[in-house]
Amino acid sequence: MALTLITACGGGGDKTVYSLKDVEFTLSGPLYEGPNPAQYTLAVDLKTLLGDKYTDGVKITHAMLKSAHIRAVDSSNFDGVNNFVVSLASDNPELQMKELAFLNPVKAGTTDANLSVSNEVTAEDYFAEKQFYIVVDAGLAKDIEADLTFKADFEFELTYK
Amino acid sequence: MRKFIFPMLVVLVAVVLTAFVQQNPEADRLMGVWEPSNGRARVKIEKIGAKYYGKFVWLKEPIDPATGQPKTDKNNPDPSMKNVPLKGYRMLKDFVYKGNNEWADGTIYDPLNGSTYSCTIKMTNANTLDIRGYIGVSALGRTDVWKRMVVK
Repeated sequence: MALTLITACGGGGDKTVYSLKDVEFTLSGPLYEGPNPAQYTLAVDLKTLLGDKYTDGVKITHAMLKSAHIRAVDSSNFDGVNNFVVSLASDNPELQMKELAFLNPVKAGTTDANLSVSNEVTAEDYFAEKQFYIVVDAGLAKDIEADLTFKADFEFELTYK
Repeated sequence: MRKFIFPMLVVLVAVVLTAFVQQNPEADRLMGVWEPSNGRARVKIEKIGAKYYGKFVWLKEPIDPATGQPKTDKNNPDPSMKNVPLKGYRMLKDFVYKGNNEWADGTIYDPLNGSTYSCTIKMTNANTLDIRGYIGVSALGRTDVWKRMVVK
Protein backbone atom coordinates (compact mmCIF):
# COMPACT_ATOMS: atom_id res chain seq x y z
CA MET A 1 0.00 0.00 0.00
CA ALA A 2 1.30 3.46 -0.84
CA LEU A 3 0.06 6.99 -0.55
CA THR A 4 0.77 10.24 -2.32
CA LEU A 5 -0.17 13.83 -1.62
CA ILE A 6 -0.97 16.73 -3.91
CA THR A 7 -1.72 20.06 -2.25
CA ALA A 8 -3.36 23.34 -3.23
CA CYS A 9 -4.55 26.49 -1.47
CA GLY A 10 -8.03 28.05 -1.41
CA GLY A 11 -10.22 30.50 0.49
CA GLY A 12 -12.00 27.87 2.57
CA GLY A 13 -8.79 26.21 3.63
CA ASP A 14 -5.98 24.38 1.96
CA LYS A 15 -6.65 21.27 -0.07
CA THR A 16 -4.73 18.09 -0.53
CA VAL A 17 -5.42 14.82 -2.27
CA TYR A 18 -4.84 11.75 -0.16
CA SER A 19 -4.23 8.69 -2.30
CA LEU A 20 -4.62 5.29 -0.76
CA LYS A 21 -3.23 2.72 -3.15
CA ASP A 22 -3.09 -1.07 -3.40
CA VAL A 23 -5.50 -1.71 -0.57
CA GLU A 24 -6.09 -5.45 -0.62
CA PHE A 25 -9.52 -6.86 0.09
CA THR A 26 -10.02 -10.60 0.50
CA LEU A 27 -13.35 -12.36 0.72
CA SER A 28 -12.74 -15.75 2.27
CA GLY A 29 -14.52 -18.61 0.52
CA PRO A 30 -16.82 -20.34 0.35
CA LEU A 31 -18.79 -17.31 -0.77
CA TYR A 32 -22.50 -17.28 -1.42
CA GLU A 33 -24.64 -15.68 -4.07
CA GLY A 34 -25.50 -12.11 -3.08
CA PRO A 35 -23.55 -9.38 -1.29
CA ASN A 36 -20.33 -10.30 0.54
CA PRO A 37 -18.39 -7.68 2.51
CA ALA A 38 -14.66 -7.16 2.96
CA GLN A 39 -13.21 -4.38 5.06
CA TYR A 40 -10.05 -2.40 5.57
CA THR A 41 -9.26 -0.45 8.72
CA LEU A 42 -7.82 2.97 7.97
CA ALA A 43 -5.89 4.50 10.88
CA VAL A 44 -6.26 8.26 10.72
CA ASP A 45 -2.90 9.91 11.30
CA LEU A 46 -3.01 13.54 10.20
CA LYS A 47 0.78 13.69 10.00
CA THR A 48 0.66 10.94 7.40
CA LEU A 49 -2.42 12.33 5.64
CA LEU A 50 -1.07 15.87 5.34
CA GLY A 51 2.65 15.20 5.13
CA ASP A 52 4.72 18.36 5.44
CA LYS A 53 1.51 20.44 5.55
CA TYR A 54 0.76 19.10 8.99
CA THR A 55 0.78 21.60 11.86
CA ASP A 56 -0.32 21.21 15.47
CA GLY A 57 -4.07 21.70 15.82
CA VAL A 58 -4.83 21.24 12.12
CA LYS A 59 -8.23 19.70 11.32
CA ILE A 60 -9.86 18.18 8.26
CA THR A 61 -12.83 20.46 7.58
CA HIS A 62 -14.10 18.78 4.41
CA ALA A 63 -13.45 15.43 2.78
CA MET A 64 -14.85 13.79 -0.32
CA LEU A 65 -14.01 10.62 -2.16
CA LYS A 66 -12.93 11.73 -5.62
CA SER A 67 -12.15 8.37 -7.20
CA ALA A 68 -12.26 4.68 -6.49
CA HIS A 69 -10.63 2.05 -8.67
CA ILE A 70 -10.85 -1.72 -8.21
CA ARG A 71 -8.80 -4.37 -9.97
CA ALA A 72 -8.54 -8.12 -9.89
CA VAL A 73 -5.25 -9.74 -8.87
CA ASP A 74 -3.35 -12.82 -10.06
CA SER A 75 -4.65 -12.48 -13.63
CA SER A 76 -8.17 -13.32 -12.55
CA ASN A 77 -11.19 -11.22 -13.44
CA PHE A 78 -14.51 -10.16 -11.98
CA ASP A 79 -16.59 -12.88 -13.63
CA GLY A 80 -19.27 -13.87 -11.16
CA VAL A 81 -19.36 -10.40 -9.56
CA ASN A 82 -22.47 -8.38 -10.36
CA ASN A 83 -21.57 -5.20 -8.54
CA PHE A 84 -19.36 -3.43 -5.99
CA VAL A 85 -20.39 -0.91 -3.33
CA VAL A 86 -17.93 1.08 -1.20
CA SER A 87 -19.03 2.35 2.22
CA LEU A 88 -17.48 3.89 5.32
CA ALA A 89 -18.27 2.66 8.82
CA SER A 90 -17.10 3.59 12.30
CA ASP A 91 -17.37 2.26 15.84
CA ASN A 92 -18.41 5.75 16.97
CA PRO A 93 -22.18 5.62 17.74
CA GLU A 94 -22.47 9.20 16.51
CA LEU A 95 -21.37 8.29 12.99
CA GLN A 96 -23.68 6.68 10.47
CA MET A 97 -22.47 4.38 7.73
CA LYS A 98 -22.20 6.12 4.35
CA GLU A 99 -22.19 4.73 0.82
CA LEU A 100 -19.59 6.54 -1.27
CA ALA A 101 -19.17 4.68 -4.53
CA PHE A 102 -20.46 1.78 -6.58
CA LEU A 103 -20.11 -0.15 -9.80
CA ASN A 104 -23.31 -1.69 -11.17
CA PRO A 105 -23.24 -3.76 -13.23
CA VAL A 106 -19.72 -5.16 -13.56
CA LYS A 107 -19.08 -5.93 -17.22
CA ALA A 108 -18.17 -9.53 -18.06
CA GLY A 109 -14.45 -10.14 -18.50
CA THR A 110 -13.54 -6.98 -16.62
CA THR A 111 -10.28 -7.04 -14.68
CA ASP A 112 -10.37 -3.47 -13.41
CA ALA A 113 -12.85 -0.62 -13.26
CA ASN A 114 -13.48 2.88 -12.00
CA LEU A 115 -16.44 3.15 -9.67
CA SER A 116 -19.10 5.86 -9.76
CA VAL A 117 -18.54 8.20 -6.83
CA SER A 118 -21.18 10.14 -4.91
CA ASN A 119 -21.23 13.86 -5.64
CA GLU A 120 -22.84 14.69 -2.30
CA VAL A 121 -21.59 12.44 0.48
CA THR A 122 -18.79 13.94 2.56
CA ALA A 123 -16.47 12.15 4.95
CA GLU A 124 -14.79 14.79 7.14
CA ASP A 125 -16.49 13.35 10.24
CA TYR A 126 -14.73 10.06 9.58
CA PHE A 127 -11.35 11.76 9.29
CA ALA A 128 -11.90 13.17 12.80
CA GLU A 129 -11.81 9.59 14.15
CA LYS A 130 -8.73 7.63 15.16
CA GLN A 131 -9.71 4.96 12.66
CA PHE A 132 -12.60 3.90 10.45
CA TYR A 133 -13.53 1.06 8.14
CA ILE A 134 -13.64 1.10 4.36
CA VAL A 135 -16.14 -1.60 3.46
CA VAL A 136 -16.38 -3.07 -0.04
CA ASP A 137 -19.37 -5.26 -0.82
CA ALA A 138 -19.06 -7.59 -3.78
CA GLY A 139 -22.43 -8.72 -5.09
CA LEU A 140 -21.96 -12.25 -6.41
CA ALA A 141 -24.06 -13.81 -9.14
CA LYS A 142 -23.39 -17.33 -7.87
CA ASP A 143 -21.68 -19.28 -5.09
CA ILE A 144 -17.87 -19.29 -5.26
CA GLU A 145 -15.79 -21.92 -3.43
CA ALA A 146 -12.46 -20.07 -3.53
CA ASP A 147 -11.36 -16.80 -1.97
CA LEU A 148 -11.95 -13.62 -3.94
CA THR A 149 -9.13 -11.10 -3.72
CA PHE A 150 -8.93 -7.70 -5.32
CA LYS A 151 -7.06 -4.44 -4.81
CA ALA A 152 -8.40 -0.93 -4.71
CA ASP A 153 -7.13 2.63 -4.98
CA PHE A 154 -8.96 5.53 -3.39
CA GLU A 155 -8.43 9.28 -3.69
CA PHE A 156 -9.88 11.59 -1.05
CA GLU A 157 -9.85 15.34 -1.47
CA LEU A 158 -9.18 16.80 1.98
CA THR A 159 -9.64 20.42 2.99
CA TYR A 160 -7.76 21.37 6.14
CA LYS A 161 -7.34 24.40 8.38
CA MET B 1 11.16 -11.48 37.28
CA ARG B 2 8.79 -8.99 38.94
CA LYS B 3 9.57 -6.30 36.42
CA PHE B 4 8.06 -8.50 33.71
CA ILE B 5 4.86 -9.33 35.56
CA PHE B 6 3.20 -5.90 35.33
CA PRO B 7 3.72 -5.46 31.56
CA MET B 8 2.49 -9.01 31.01
CA LEU B 9 -0.63 -8.28 33.06
CA VAL B 10 -1.28 -5.10 31.05
CA VAL B 11 -1.00 -7.04 27.79
CA LEU B 12 -3.26 -9.80 29.12
CA VAL B 13 -5.95 -7.32 30.19
CA ALA B 14 -5.75 -5.55 26.81
CA VAL B 15 -6.16 -8.84 24.95
CA VAL B 16 -9.14 -9.85 27.08
CA LEU B 17 -10.81 -6.44 26.66
CA THR B 18 -10.27 -6.47 22.90
CA ALA B 19 -11.77 -9.94 22.64
CA PHE B 20 -14.76 -8.83 24.74
CA VAL B 21 -15.44 -5.79 22.56
CA GLN B 22 -15.16 -7.74 19.30
CA GLN B 23 -17.11 -10.79 20.44
CA ASN B 24 -20.10 -10.28 22.63
CA PRO B 25 -22.27 -13.40 22.44
CA GLU B 26 -25.29 -11.70 23.96
CA ALA B 27 -25.16 -8.84 21.46
CA ASP B 28 -24.23 -11.12 18.55
CA ARG B 29 -27.56 -12.97 18.86
CA LEU B 30 -28.88 -10.29 16.52
CA MET B 31 -26.83 -11.68 13.66
CA GLY B 32 -28.59 -13.89 11.14
CA VAL B 33 -31.17 -13.68 8.38
CA TRP B 34 -34.52 -12.10 9.22
CA GLU B 35 -37.79 -11.63 7.36
CA PRO B 36 -40.06 -8.58 7.82
CA SER B 37 -43.78 -9.20 8.35
CA ASN B 38 -44.68 -8.45 4.72
CA GLY B 39 -42.47 -11.33 3.53
CA ARG B 40 -41.19 -9.27 0.60
CA ALA B 41 -37.52 -9.29 1.60
CA ARG B 42 -34.95 -10.99 3.77
CA VAL B 43 -32.32 -9.05 5.67
CA LYS B 44 -29.00 -10.40 6.86
CA ILE B 45 -27.72 -8.71 10.00
CA GLU B 46 -23.95 -8.80 10.48
CA LYS B 47 -21.31 -6.98 12.46
CA ILE B 48 -18.77 -4.46 11.19
CA GLY B 49 -16.42 -3.29 13.91
CA ALA B 50 -18.55 -2.97 17.03
CA LYS B 51 -21.88 -2.17 15.36
CA TYR B 52 -24.58 -4.14 13.57
CA TYR B 53 -25.85 -3.67 10.03
CA GLY B 54 -28.59 -5.37 8.02
CA LYS B 55 -28.68 -5.72 4.24
CA PHE B 56 -31.15 -7.13 1.74
CA VAL B 57 -30.03 -10.62 0.70
CA TRP B 58 -33.29 -11.68 -0.93
CA LEU B 59 -36.09 -9.77 -2.60
CA LYS B 60 -39.42 -11.33 -3.50
CA GLU B 61 -39.51 -9.15 -6.59
CA PRO B 62 -35.87 -8.53 -7.51
CA ILE B 63 -36.54 -7.20 -11.00
CA ASP B 64 -37.76 -3.67 -11.66
CA PRO B 65 -40.73 -4.09 -14.05
CA ALA B 66 -40.04 -0.66 -15.52
CA THR B 67 -36.52 -1.58 -16.68
CA GLY B 68 -36.43 -5.38 -16.71
CA GLN B 69 -33.19 -5.09 -14.71
CA PRO B 70 -32.39 -5.86 -11.05
CA LYS B 71 -33.87 -3.20 -8.77
CA THR B 72 -31.68 -0.31 -7.73
CA ASP B 73 -32.02 2.30 -5.00
CA LYS B 74 -33.89 4.62 -7.35
CA ASN B 75 -35.39 6.69 -4.52
CA ASN B 76 -32.00 7.52 -2.99
CA PRO B 77 -32.04 11.27 -2.23
CA ASP B 78 -28.50 11.47 -3.66
CA PRO B 79 -29.03 11.42 -7.46
CA SER B 80 -25.52 10.10 -8.06
CA MET B 81 -26.30 6.97 -6.03
CA LYS B 82 -29.61 5.92 -7.58
CA ASN B 83 -28.06 2.99 -9.45
CA VAL B 84 -26.71 1.27 -6.33
CA PRO B 85 -28.17 -2.27 -6.37
CA LEU B 86 -31.03 -2.75 -3.93
CA LYS B 87 -30.05 -6.35 -3.26
CA GLY B 88 -27.17 -5.97 -0.84
CA TYR B 89 -28.23 -2.50 0.26
CA ARG B 90 -27.78 -1.92 4.00
CA MET B 91 -31.19 -0.77 5.18
CA LEU B 92 -30.32 -1.23 8.88
CA LYS B 93 -27.26 0.72 9.98
CA ASP B 94 -25.15 1.43 13.04
CA PHE B 95 -26.94 -0.46 15.82
CA VAL B 96 -25.26 -0.65 19.22
CA TYR B 97 -26.23 -3.21 21.85
CA LYS B 98 -27.63 -1.51 24.96
CA GLY B 99 -28.33 -4.60 27.05
CA ASN B 100 -31.74 -6.02 28.01
CA ASN B 101 -32.23 -7.47 24.50
CA GLU B 102 -32.21 -4.04 22.87
CA TRP B 103 -30.11 -2.52 20.07
CA ALA B 104 -30.39 1.23 19.47
CA ASP B 105 -28.78 4.34 17.96
CA GLY B 106 -29.38 2.91 14.48
CA THR B 107 -31.40 3.82 11.43
CA ILE B 108 -33.76 2.01 9.07
CA TYR B 109 -34.07 2.95 5.41
CA ASP B 110 -37.28 2.58 3.41
CA PRO B 111 -36.32 2.12 -0.25
CA LEU B 112 -39.92 2.69 -1.31
CA ASN B 113 -39.66 6.39 -0.48
CA GLY B 114 -35.94 6.96 0.10
CA SER B 115 -36.50 7.99 3.73
CA THR B 116 -34.31 7.10 6.69
CA TYR B 117 -35.77 6.82 10.18
CA SER B 118 -34.33 6.42 13.66
CA CYS B 119 -34.76 2.84 14.79
CA THR B 120 -34.54 0.53 17.79
CA ILE B 121 -34.55 -3.26 17.78
CA LYS B 122 -35.98 -5.36 20.59
CA MET B 123 -35.48 -9.14 20.62
CA THR B 124 -38.66 -10.51 22.14
CA ASN B 125 -37.45 -14.09 21.81
CA ALA B 126 -34.54 -15.81 20.06
CA ASN B 127 -36.38 -15.81 16.75
CA THR B 128 -38.44 -12.62 16.85
CA LEU B 129 -37.53 -8.95 16.60
CA ASP B 130 -39.62 -5.85 17.15
CA ILE B 131 -38.22 -3.27 14.74
CA ARG B 132 -39.43 0.22 15.63
CA GLY B 133 -38.83 3.05 13.19
CA TYR B 134 -39.61 6.60 14.21
CA ILE B 135 -39.00 10.28 13.60
CA GLY B 136 -37.94 12.34 16.59
CA VAL B 137 -39.30 10.42 19.57
CA SER B 138 -39.85 6.68 19.72
CA ALA B 139 -43.51 7.13 20.74
CA LEU B 140 -44.23 8.51 17.27
CA GLY B 141 -43.31 5.46 15.28
CA ARG B 142 -44.32 2.10 13.90
CA THR B 143 -43.24 -1.37 14.93
CA ASP B 144 -42.81 -4.30 12.58
CA VAL B 145 -42.24 -7.88 13.70
CA TRP B 146 -39.43 -9.78 11.99
CA LYS B 147 -38.86 -13.54 12.14
CA ARG B 148 -35.53 -15.35 12.01
CA MET B 149 -35.18 -17.49 8.89
CA VAL B 150 -33.06 -20.21 10.47
CA VAL B 151 -34.84 -20.94 13.73
CA LYS B 152 -32.55 -21.39 16.73
